[in-house]
Amino acid sequence: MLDSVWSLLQNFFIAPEWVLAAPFLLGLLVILYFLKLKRRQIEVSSNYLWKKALEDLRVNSPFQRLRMNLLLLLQLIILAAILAALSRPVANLGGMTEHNHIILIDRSASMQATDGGGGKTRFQRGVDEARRIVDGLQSWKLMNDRAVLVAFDDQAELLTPMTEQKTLLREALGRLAPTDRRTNLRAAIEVARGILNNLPHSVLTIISDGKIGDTKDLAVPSDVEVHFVKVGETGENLGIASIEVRRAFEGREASSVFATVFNSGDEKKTAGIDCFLEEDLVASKSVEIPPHEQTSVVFESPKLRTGRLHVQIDAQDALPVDDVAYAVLREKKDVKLLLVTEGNPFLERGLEEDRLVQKVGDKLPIVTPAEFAGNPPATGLYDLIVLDRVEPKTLGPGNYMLVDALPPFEGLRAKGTAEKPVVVDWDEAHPVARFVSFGSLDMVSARRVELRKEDRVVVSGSSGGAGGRRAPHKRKPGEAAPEEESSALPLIFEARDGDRHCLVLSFDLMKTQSWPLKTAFPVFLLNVVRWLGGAGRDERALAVRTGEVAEIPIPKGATKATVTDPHSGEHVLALKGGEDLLRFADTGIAGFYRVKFDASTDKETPAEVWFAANVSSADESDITPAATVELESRPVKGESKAEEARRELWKLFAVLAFLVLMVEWWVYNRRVYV
Amino acid sequence: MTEGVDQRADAAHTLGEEKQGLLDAEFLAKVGKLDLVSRKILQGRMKGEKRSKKKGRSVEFADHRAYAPGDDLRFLDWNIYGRLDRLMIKLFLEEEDLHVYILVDASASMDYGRPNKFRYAQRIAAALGYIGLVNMNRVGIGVFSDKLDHVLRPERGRHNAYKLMRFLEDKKPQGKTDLAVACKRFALEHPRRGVVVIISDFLDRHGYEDAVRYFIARKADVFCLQILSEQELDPPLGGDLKLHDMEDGDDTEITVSGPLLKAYKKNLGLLLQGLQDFCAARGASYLTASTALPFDRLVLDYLRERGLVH
Repeated sequence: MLDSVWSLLQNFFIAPEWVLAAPFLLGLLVILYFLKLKRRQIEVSSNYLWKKALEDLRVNSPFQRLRMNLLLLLQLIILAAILAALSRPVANLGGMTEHNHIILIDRSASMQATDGGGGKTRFQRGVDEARRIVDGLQSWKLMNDRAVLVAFDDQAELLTPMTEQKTLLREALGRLAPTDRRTNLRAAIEVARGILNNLPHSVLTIISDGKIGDTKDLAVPSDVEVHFVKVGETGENLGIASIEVRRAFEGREASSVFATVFNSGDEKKTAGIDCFLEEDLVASKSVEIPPHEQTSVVFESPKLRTGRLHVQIDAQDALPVDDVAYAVLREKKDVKLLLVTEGNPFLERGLEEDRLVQKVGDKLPIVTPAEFAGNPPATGLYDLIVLDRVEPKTLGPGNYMLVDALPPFEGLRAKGTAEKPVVVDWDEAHPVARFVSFGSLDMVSARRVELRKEDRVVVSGSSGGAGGRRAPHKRKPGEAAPEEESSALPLIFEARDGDRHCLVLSFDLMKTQSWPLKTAFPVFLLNVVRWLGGAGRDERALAVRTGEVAEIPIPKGATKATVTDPHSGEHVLALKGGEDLLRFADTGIAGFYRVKFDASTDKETPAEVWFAANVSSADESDITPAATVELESRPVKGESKAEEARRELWKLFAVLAFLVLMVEWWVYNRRVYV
Repeated sequence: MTEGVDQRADAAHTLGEEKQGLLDAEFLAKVGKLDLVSRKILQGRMKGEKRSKKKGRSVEFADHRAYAPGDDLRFLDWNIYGRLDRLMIKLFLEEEDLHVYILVDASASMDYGRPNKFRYAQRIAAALGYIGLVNMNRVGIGVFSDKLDHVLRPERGRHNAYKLMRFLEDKKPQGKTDLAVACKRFALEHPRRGVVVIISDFLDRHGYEDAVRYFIARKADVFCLQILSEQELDPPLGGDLKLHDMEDGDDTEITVSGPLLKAYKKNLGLLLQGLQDFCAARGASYLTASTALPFDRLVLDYLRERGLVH
């Protein structure tokens, strides 16, 4: 009973306790009036006329007295108005319709910017706006507004079910914390669409700074009311948009650190960039960054060998989280490589030149195909085995590069050869294609390989006669491969089967015209060694972007891993047998993560590993708030405040109290009586 | 005539200087030219200063009245008898030394208002007394509360003006009001007919009727001058009050409201009207004055209009 009264009052008042207090306080005023201990004493010449007047009026009855006292009446009105103002009454603007609110709150890295809003971050202001919506939900006996909270960064998280319980919603908002991840509204809209299905009177509110990627193809049903609450004002910010640690070209031990600094402001900025190894300053540079552009900084020092490294912008700005980028330098190890060939000078020379490849007495380990077939190496002995024109019957677990040969994977087979194929395009994002131009790849023939679905094409071509010669196309990351052609003739592709990982060249290097002699070839080999040989994988795993999966090699014998995040939160993960990589996805916070395995019988793989997560996103560093969000050609203009479902009226009551106070004062002084 | 005026002015000046608080010289000079008037034929102990005006027995014609057996036939108006066939007696004004009795209410209730009612009453009494003395009338003053407190025996002549002023000046208002007791006593002590001026607020719980009657019965020319302050006529009160009666110390709690004020004013109006009606019915004169009315205007204009002075 009391609860229902309370919830009913909450529809009209934000602080209903004052309403409950009102009868007591008003009653107290009346009682005080009657019990007024001290009446003002006035001397009169004779009070017998007054007595007669009192008798005439018979004003001894309390109600008569009450009715006649204009001052008391006015004072009661003033007190009531003050109490009404204190109880913060609201006018419900939503009418008598049930609304279903879907509130999407951006919690990505850029929401941590503190621009405007009295020192509050965008995220805090966003939560405040969400709270206002929640406060404004109406709940009646038969008709309740409901709401669901979805937090999003590069993924969406449903914080509550669709509920009418404000406490639940408020609790969820209270628990919500920002992450250092990037923004992707797409996932949140997908979640929202799932909720919106067949919901009447739906209101979708997106609380964000608007850096939410391309949303033009995202549709929400047309009957859904969409609001975009824009938080954030300025775009003035400096951020480290990327960091990369590469093995220095010279010197096997030291590393080079590459960082790009992005200026999202409208003015040119100069900032000092410091590079720290552990807590020691290793190098410092001053860079000038033009507005809306990136500038690269390279730190090279023999000190940069092992340890935790961070690069920091030495300047105060609105968003501190992107001012630091982290990386872990690890001792480099050589790649154990075995070349199986009848003789291939290009491969032999190319691999021998690579400093990373472990030599046996300055020589590259080379075996013939017969030797390889007769005495296959034990699993794990080599990091990478290069099979040149060797068609293996079986392949043990490991990494392989096959030249003019196919791995014995089911479903992967060659259907004849194509003469004089030409390169059509290549996947620039693939690690082996880094810094390599395949435009000059000119082979005499290539196998027509029929790929499986899961195989990934790196370089695709077409047979010279069929498709005609076209200028090779450099595919941008994310761009879909032209299906017909790529399936037609994959020249270089990646194939996996269980724990066997292969890169396949479908042509013979010896039968190319000049490609092995071009600069691209050794670079390609270097990429293959780093990527497939494990060296590259290690480097990549040591620094991920926030929200990305970190892959950590699991040492043998480990059954449990404990990951400590930068906020000292511990994540204990049980390891399944047989897996060689720990995939850790909870990398929402930028900083260093420590991975500790409970046991390691493996000398190569350490029991404790550090890796770093970085925001590393120019999109997040560009904190300029978007004015509108476009949802399938439906532009939603940013509002600075959440659409109020109800409006507070306390000011009106405060003004009323003031005015009546003025009237009371006037009445008291002018002696006006009713 | 001119000399007389100058003499009066001189006396007024001297008095005014001495008794600055009560009456000022300028005012005394003005009132010195006035005289008290009795509308009734009054009998004096001695002939007054206007005696030379009288020729034989005949005096100034005043009025007619019906003949009653025993009346002096010499005063029958034969012209009227001839014309109207009715016997009427001619009445003449007789100029004798007039007895002027001034009764001043000095009860606690008079010590109220701004300007103070008692002060106002004192000044009126002083002015009237002065006029009387200057005009060779016998002026006697009684100061009363619930009894007759002080009496100044009737005196005549302007040389008594200072005495009169000092007598009035000394008095302090105190005690309750009982008009009837005081007036009865005064009437008994002063049996001579004359002009009786009662200066009071008439706020007497026991009523004023008996008091006035004692003088009416003695065929005195009664003049009731009711002095009320503006604070009584239109009380500037508001809120919740405890009214303390100055006379009997009685407290009354009121909450001032429109109807209450209305009822008060109605009651006050009834009191005033009652007094007025009572006086009118008995041939007495009546005047209510607010202390807000400048004192000189009251004496020089209002009392003149009412015929008390001329």
